[in-house]
Amino acid sequence: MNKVLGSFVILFLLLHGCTKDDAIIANLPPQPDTGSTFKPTPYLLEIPFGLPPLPLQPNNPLTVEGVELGRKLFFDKILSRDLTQSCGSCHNQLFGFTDNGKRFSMGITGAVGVRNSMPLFNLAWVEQFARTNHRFFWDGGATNLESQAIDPIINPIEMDDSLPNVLNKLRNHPQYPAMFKKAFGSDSITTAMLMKALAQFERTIVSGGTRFDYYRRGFNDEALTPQEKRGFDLYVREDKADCFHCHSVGPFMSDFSFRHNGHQSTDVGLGRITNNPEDNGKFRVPSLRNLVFTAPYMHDGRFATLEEVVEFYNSGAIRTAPADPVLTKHPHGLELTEAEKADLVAFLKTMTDSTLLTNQKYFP
Amino acid sequence: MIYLNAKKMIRGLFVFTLLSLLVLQACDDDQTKDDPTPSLEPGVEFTQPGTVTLNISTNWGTGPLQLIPTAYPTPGLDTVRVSEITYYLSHLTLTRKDGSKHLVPHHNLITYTPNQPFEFSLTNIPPGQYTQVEFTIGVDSVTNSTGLHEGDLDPSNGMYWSWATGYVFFRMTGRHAFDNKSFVFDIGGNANLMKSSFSLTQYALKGSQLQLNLVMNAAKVFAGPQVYSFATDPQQIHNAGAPGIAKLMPNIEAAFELNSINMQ
Repeated sequence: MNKVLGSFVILFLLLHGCTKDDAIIANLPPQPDTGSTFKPTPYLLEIPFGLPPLPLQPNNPLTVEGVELGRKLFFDKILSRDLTQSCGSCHNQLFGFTDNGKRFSMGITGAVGVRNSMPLFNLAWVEQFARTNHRFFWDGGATNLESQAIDPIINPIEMDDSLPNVLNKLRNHPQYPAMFKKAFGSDSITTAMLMKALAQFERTIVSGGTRFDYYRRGFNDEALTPQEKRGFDLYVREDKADCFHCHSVGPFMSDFSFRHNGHQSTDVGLGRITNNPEDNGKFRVPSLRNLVFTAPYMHDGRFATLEEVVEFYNSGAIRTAPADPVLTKHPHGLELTEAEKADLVAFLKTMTDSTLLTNQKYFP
Repeated sequence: MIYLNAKKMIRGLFVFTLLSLLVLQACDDDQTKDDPTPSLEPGVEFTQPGTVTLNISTNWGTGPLQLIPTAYPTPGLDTVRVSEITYYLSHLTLTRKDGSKHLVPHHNLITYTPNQPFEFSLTNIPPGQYTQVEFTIGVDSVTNSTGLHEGDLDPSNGMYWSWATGYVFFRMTGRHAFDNKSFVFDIGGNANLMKSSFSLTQYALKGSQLQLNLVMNAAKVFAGPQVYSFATDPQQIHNAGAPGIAKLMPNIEAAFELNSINMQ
């Protein structure tokens, strides 16, 4: 049976290859020099409770050498033009890899951005579960982690360097050439290798095992207090807080879509990437894990506290187009009582994993 | 007079018969591929695994393109000075008489340097009779959306959008006289892959080394099929959905001309 099926598949591929006008061939991943001693060690990532298995990355598998290189690069100011900032400058582990409670981040020239530094954890699953090619950045401008890491390095309001210059600095560094060779088996250092190493390290930053994980997946009824359980009930009730349509109940508490959340901001978000006016004002629906560490909130960091966020959805958000239908169907707001709002905030705090801040694998 | 007309008629009949034969032959599906008779079939025949070499000159009209400060008039009643032309030429594909294709996966980054044709070769072309050649201008959607790549596709070459990740397929920059401003055409995005194709049926050649002498006629970017004029069309194109791209794409496809071929 399998043989027959296989033949059909082969036949289909053959026919397909003969008739399809725009045959598409992906470039093969770079092959290491044959005959070299290139033997990277597979990296064994411990997945915290509540998260699914790590998706495979056939073009950039996690290796001990690659992750180690990526970790060094992530915290190395060599990636900025004047050697004053690293990725870690605006993605600080002590704040869930966000920028120290700041609303906007400041680049090496003193220029300030317009969007809030995004938390970095569980990113491999964004690539797996996002339903379009719009995966990273608040506006979905990056299709995968490898390509995402270019912009912060070359953006004039961030690290303001150029790729040729960064590659030159790495090639002339006392340690990097050997580290790249160990990670990728090549004597050269290329943009793809630099970004692959950064992406490998980022994919190892995982966070789970919270009280809510033990409640949801461990069926441990004691894991949440009565108040937190009331908050969860509001979260999943369409006639109450109605959070779950966008922040789906699951390992990530997000459907990884892009939506207009009723904000009053002139930033067009996803619309700038797709050039579709219907996407104007849409931003990534973020994960709700570790909110305690990642204030302020929203794409522009406009809210300093979770209470403000809840009040925004309760009464502040725009409830007409272009706001998302999940908001417009509540034309009078959510009409939560003070006690209900407090319950909801209490529930949101149950998705907190403080080991994220202390895990030595993510230290500089 | 009558004698001359008769002669003309006979000659006309002869040409008609020859043409009919060619057409019939082209339509005949039962024709065996490995015809042992010498290649009189239209197209190019690789008698053994071979090589295609692309030699690309860049012109403005009939003469070699000169960069800034040389100014060229356009049909849009404008004057253009060109400072850069860079693009990816990719996935050269040869089509056999039966419609089947041989695609060579490659992406070559081509930057125009004055008076210096750009040349590169693609190897392992399988033996066979080919009647059409085509290539794409840009980067295929799989390569464009799956991380980063090496060599000509290294983003450090500057043909990459970091804020809406993906390669820039075609870039042309310069200045124009309309209001003496600069113009930038950066075309990318999976929906905007361009394709140029050329029939080889006017040739009847065989061998294993095929050279295609192409001309990229930059004047056509502004001249047509649709006239592009800075008086009404955008001067700055920086993203996949920018207005102006729809007009430029067929112009860029038409800018590539197959000047001559030779085979040995």
